[in-house]
Amino acid sequence: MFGGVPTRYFCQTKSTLALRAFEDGVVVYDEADGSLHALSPVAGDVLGHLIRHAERLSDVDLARLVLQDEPEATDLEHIGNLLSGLVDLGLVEQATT
Amino acid sequence: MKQPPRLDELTLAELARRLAGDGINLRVPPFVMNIRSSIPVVAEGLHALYGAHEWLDVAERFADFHVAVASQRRLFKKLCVFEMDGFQPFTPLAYGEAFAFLEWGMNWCITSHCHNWLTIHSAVLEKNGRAVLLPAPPGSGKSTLCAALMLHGWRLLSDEMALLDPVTGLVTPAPRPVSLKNASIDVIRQRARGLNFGPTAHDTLKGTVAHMQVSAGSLAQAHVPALPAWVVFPKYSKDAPLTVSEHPKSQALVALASNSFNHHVHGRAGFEALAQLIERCGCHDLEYASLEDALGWFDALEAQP
Repeated sequence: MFGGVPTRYFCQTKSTLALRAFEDGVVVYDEADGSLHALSPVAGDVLGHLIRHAERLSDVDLARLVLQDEPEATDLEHIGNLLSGLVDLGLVEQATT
Repeated sequence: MKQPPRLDELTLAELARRLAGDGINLRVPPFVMNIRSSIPVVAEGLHALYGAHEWLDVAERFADFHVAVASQRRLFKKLCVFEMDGFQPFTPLAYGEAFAFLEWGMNWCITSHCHNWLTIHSAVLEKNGRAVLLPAPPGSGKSTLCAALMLHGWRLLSDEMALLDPVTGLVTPAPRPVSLKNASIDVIRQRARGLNFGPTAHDTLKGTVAHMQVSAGSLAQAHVPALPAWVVFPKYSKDAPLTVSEHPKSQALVALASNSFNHHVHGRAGFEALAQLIERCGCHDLEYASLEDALGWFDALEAQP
């Protein structure tokens, strides 16, 4: 949350990303720079939703999509941590407007 | 049709004479290498290890690579340099390492220039139509295990690089002498009845290095590609019991990509090809101390339907 406006997330580089999901996790390849990342299954799921959705999504939106249910506080905390990780990797960007 | 002559039809003296002249066109599947050198240990190594390979007339046959190992004197030290098309990609090495330098240089030619394949730093062997990749960092016992598997009846496609066709998913064989280091040389020499060893290079950056001839069966099947069924990450640990665990596939894909020399050249198609390979394969970590135990495990793996 930033000044009362929920932080929204989006994937700017979706056209250059390729994902491959396995039972134990997801591997994402960015053909823009050749980088490769292994993600947990849930982090891969979150990234997949951001790639598939044209609009920017909040942590609550993403938690609902991943859980297919209303998230609890601990779920939101977990999703928030995953999003921070994806932002750090440069796979996801955040917007406050 | 008349078969091209084998290298062992030349005497060592005749081979040395040709190498010192226009060189010799040697079929090193899937390539033809034009090799030149006036250094005796190069002729000795080729004569000992490539006897069953075909050689072709220099004037009549195109060569994929023109390579040479030449002597060079720097102050009072005798050195050797590797050349490809006159280009010297490496700093000189000790004169006694000339044959090993040729082998390493030929590896470099392939991994640096052959981008029709995805090249992966990995040994590859095959049995009954199914191939296993052994990608592993130096010191993991990959080459020792690879040599032992070949001597145990597996077909060697390569001890050093997997040439993966990104379209078909098949690995193209590139059977060449197996590079062994330090204690592995004697361990494998005791098992390798009937196969030649090449010159021993001492005090290299990798320690003591010697190469073992590829098995006749592996060379005879050099035209037959193989489909990978397993990716095994070996690790030699002294005195450790044999331990096998499943290697998570997402991590196996990242590991395989990091062992690839050129997946970035292939872009998304290269990533997809590696991902398909991993998806299709069983992925395992294998820690071993006893070669017998490891070979037994591979026998059981191969026996599975």
